[in-house]
Amino acid sequence: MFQHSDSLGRARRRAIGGIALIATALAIIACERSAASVPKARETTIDATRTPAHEDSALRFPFLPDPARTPGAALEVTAADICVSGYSKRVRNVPAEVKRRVYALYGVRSHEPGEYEIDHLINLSLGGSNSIRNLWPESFRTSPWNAYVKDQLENELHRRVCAGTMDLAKAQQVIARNWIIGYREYVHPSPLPAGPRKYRQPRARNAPQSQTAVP
Amino acid sequence: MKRERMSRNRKLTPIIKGRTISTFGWDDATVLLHFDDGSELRIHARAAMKGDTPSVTLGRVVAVRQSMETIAFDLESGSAMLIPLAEPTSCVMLRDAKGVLEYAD
Repeated sequence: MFQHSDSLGRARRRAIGGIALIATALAIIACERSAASVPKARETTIDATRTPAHEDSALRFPFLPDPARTPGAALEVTAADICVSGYSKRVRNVPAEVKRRVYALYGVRSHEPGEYEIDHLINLSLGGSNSIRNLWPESFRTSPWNAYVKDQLENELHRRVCAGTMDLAKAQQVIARNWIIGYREYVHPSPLPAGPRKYRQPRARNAPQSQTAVP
Repeated sequence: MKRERMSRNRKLTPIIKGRTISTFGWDDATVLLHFDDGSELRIHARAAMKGDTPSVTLGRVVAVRQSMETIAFDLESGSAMLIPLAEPTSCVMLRDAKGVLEYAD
């Protein structure tokens, strides 16, 4: 009787163990499927240095613009236009009122200085326009993808177009469709470190004080 | 009706100041302004404006003002040419006589 009871207990434990194993396996499969179904470009890793007060606005559209609101728009320009030094300076700055509209469109009610930039999805140097269909609030603070990282792709695509190795329309398409996929294809499989530091002018500490030639 | 505030377009004004508008025309929904130096300004105008050509006073431009809905060319004569824009931005493009881009909005 005891033996019978004991064997029943073992059988129960085995059954429970088996169920637990199956449940674990199913859970893993489910996790893998859900991970596979979510494009990697939509990963949302939040910079741990951000305080909770900032999370409301920056988390809504962390890496990619809403394609319905910001499908991208370009000017009627050619590679010959954009590959001229100073081209971007010939394009008018986005008026403050338009920037306010873009923030409102994305539901960003408040933000701190340096938290976002109103980014041209198709950047100016690739012929992108100031149309509201080409503008979105892009975060500087999200990680790993942010405005600094996108700049690397913008520069690379501009370089390729001006070197004649990529068609302008193709470059515009790459960046408008999904700039993170474009980055992985044309810059690096994973985001390279980037930040405001790269915009600083390098100081030539050992440069001579005067360029005057001494006879 | 709330009056729209128009501020000077600080980028376009110094470029075309002193040029004379010699012709005014349409290309579909685009207004074409040709200047005496051969340059051409293309403006995507609100479709409603087509066929409703303003009493165009051609003359020398002294300033350009712009709001979210309108671009205005102030002329030396004291009159102004107002053109309603298709959208607040991305509507204005200026090329010189050789076709080189001078300004885009």
